[in-house]
Amino acid sequence: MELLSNLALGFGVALTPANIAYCFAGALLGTLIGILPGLGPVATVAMLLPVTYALEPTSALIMLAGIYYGAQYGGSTTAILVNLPGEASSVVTCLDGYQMARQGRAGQALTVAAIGSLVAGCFGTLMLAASATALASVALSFGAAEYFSLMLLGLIAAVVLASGSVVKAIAMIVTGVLLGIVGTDINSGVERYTFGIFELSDGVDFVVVAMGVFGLTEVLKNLERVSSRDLVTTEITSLRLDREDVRRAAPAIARGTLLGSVLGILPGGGALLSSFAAYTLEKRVSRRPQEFGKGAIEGVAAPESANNAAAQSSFVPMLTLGVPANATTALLMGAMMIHNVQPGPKVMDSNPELFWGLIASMWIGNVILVILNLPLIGIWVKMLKIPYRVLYPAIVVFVTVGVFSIQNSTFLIYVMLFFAVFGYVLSKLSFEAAPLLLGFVLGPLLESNFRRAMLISAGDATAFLTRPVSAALLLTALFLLVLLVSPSFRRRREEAFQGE
Amino acid sequence: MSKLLKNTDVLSGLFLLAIAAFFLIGGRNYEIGTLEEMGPGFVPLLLGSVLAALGVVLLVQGAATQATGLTVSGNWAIGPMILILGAIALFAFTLRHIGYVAACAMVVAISGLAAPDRRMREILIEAVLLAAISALVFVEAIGMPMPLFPWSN
Repeated sequence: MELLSNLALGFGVALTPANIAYCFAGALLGTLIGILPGLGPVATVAMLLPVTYALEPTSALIMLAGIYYGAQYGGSTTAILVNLPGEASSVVTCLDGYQMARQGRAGQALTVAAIGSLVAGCFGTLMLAASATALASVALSFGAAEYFSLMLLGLIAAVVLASGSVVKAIAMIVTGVLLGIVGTDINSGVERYTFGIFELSDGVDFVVVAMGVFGLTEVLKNLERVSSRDLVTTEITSLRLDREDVRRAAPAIARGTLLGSVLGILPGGGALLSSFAAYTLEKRVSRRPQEFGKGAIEGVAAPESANNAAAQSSFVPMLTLGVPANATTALLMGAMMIHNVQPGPKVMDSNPELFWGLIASMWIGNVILVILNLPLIGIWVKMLKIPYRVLYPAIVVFVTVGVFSIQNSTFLIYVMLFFAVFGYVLSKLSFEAAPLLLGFVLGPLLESNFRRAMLISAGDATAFLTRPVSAALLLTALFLLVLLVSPSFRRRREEAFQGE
Repeated sequence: MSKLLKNTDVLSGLFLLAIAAFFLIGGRNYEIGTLEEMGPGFVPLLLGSVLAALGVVLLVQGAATQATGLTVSGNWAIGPMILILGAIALFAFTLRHIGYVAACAMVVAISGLAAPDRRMREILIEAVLLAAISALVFVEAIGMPMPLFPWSN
């Protein structure tokens, strides 16, 4: 079977001592920073991106993927222990996870989250491997018009599935694309919006944008008020699940995994949406719905499995189509481009070691995470006690040095400061930063495919509608937009994001 | 009027109009080209106009709901913003002159003041420790091209 030989190739790459070490380092760093307060996965990946610039592409991506799911995982640990979601997708874990911790069952909650994530991660990786080949072979026949329509659909779908105002999210995408235009136009050689500044002629590095808009903006937001973190008082007595726990958690893990794997492929808040959906589903099928919110183990098992499965399957559109599904995969896509690997259907053929190595490493990374988290939980609990006032100056130093290291120049530091202020104003006006980053990374590709498609069709804009695949993609995007305007869908969307 | 200017949608609309104006005015000299062969100015003009339209939508929406609409809430972290971003700018500005160790200690010391619950002794200890450790890691171990001290080259 082709899938098996591909996976064998992948494991051959991922299981070299060096790559195991990078995977381990990534998962460790990701968990470490994910557990520390005030830094979500996007900021974590952005902060550590420059560290991987010196590595060869496969190792760099293996490490970055490790950082991503490590940070995701760290977020659920803080959700359970201190009722503080490290990121949006572990909000749901707080509901029952923290209640379990207060009842002295923190250990069981952590165990079930770990096992759920492991099962989901393994399944999600298999899904990814199985669907990648099929999707890529479809996408290989795409021309410029189809690519443009596909990216547009991806961006629109990301808006539909994200929470918050639709007009604002679309405005952020447009702003992101416009910011991505800064630099030399590849078609004409004209420098756009560089104002004669030499350092801007290659455009703004996406890491600088991410560090400003996600890293520093988050620091500023956290300093608006005195942090009121509950200190950890929970003792972790036992990690062992009893028979009743297993009986209740196992089907929840299975359902969460399936739901997450499917929903994760959709662009937009894959992990967020699937953890909410999994929680709602569990509550609905449970014979004891009244226990939810009071420490029901299913309420931890299902969303944790779902968001981890979704984290894996959100790699599918990025790796096979070159369309990132969320801010984190947009960052990983940017990292691939820095290493001169263009994400899209050709990656599988042109860089099979990278592609299958990355997928295999996710499986290894999930095993490493369980090993890291359960026995070492005592260390993580200690880290949770570090107060934010001590932590953020270190973040500031790291972000600054990281941006300096991109070009070994102080110029980008000033650019980052601009984006910090920009991002802070955006957050105050309740704009979301994720669509901005998606637009920024996809911007140059959108523009060049748009212009090429128009050139091929001799200036006829209907070409996007007369080519069947392109038309179908655009109609789907239009359908999603119409859905958004319909009041009943809007109501349900708001309900879904409020969770309860 | 003051109510209008506190409405999130109104402010957001104005903000988008400002961004759109920047791209439309900054790009006014780029060649537009034709639909077949677009110049470098085509897409900025298109997207700048879309952004301006979205700004107007938000502006109208905000003006219509000014009584019931969302208002910008919470404190603006102006103090932390000046301290932290100022510290970083100082770092960038002085790095070549005073070296990494001093510049880093300065960033930690100044940005540390931004915490509402700051403790001076803690900040000083952290400044010294972070400067020393990060100098070892970034400059000595990774070999980033930054002078460590004013006299090192």
